[in-house]
Amino acid sequence: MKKILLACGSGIATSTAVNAKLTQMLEENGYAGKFKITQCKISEVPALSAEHDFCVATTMQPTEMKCPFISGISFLTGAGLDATFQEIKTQMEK
Amino acid sequence: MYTNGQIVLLKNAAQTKEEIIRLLSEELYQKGYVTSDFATAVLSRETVYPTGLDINGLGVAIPHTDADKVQSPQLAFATLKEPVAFQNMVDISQTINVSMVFLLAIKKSDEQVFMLQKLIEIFQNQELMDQLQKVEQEKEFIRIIRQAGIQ
Repeated sequence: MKKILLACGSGIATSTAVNAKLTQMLEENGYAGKFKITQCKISEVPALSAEHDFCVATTMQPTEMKCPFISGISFLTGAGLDATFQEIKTQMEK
Repeated sequence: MYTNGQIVLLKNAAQTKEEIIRLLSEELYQKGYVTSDFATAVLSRETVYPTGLDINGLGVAIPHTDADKVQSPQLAFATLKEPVAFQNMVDISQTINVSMVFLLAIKKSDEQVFMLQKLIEIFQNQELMDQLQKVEQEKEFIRIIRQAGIQ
């Protein structure tokens, strides 16, 4: 079970949209039941990062991260989404 | 429901993000969707967590703030005569010249998943974004948004 932290500025708008899309993509790629996504505000990420496998966020990378960070902006803009998902798959396989 | 207020400003002459956010917020406030301090909250959030997005070369911004400033969820839209500067969501040191603003008054994120997803689908549909940018009538703008799945 991979514990994924999903963050945006407020923890309500863009992370909600990304959550839906990321869940769908993970399930379509054979990871159904193999991940748990926790949605939060980016300000909460440093504290929560130690207990998660990796973090996807639509904002800048916070300092003091204790898990790998992946920019999820391509979930919003569409450009580079394949590359982003590849990074996520790499983390899922670790 | 998210477009009931029909809040659309087309080819608006605003010159700063403050100006356009205040204009849209005022309409949201007048129609009862947000509290009187919504605009100020959106603007102060924008300085910490900016919302400018570069979508295939088109500058779009999705300003928003916490749910306690929202009475009932609604979207407010603007296209701009001349782009205004927003900071980039992924890098606050970068400026994005924004020509379309989607101001989000969001109450409960879990109930608004579908709308947010549809909104992102619209962003990623270049043809639709081109259409929206050229629209001359508010009703037409709303019609396109509704047709794209946001009621």
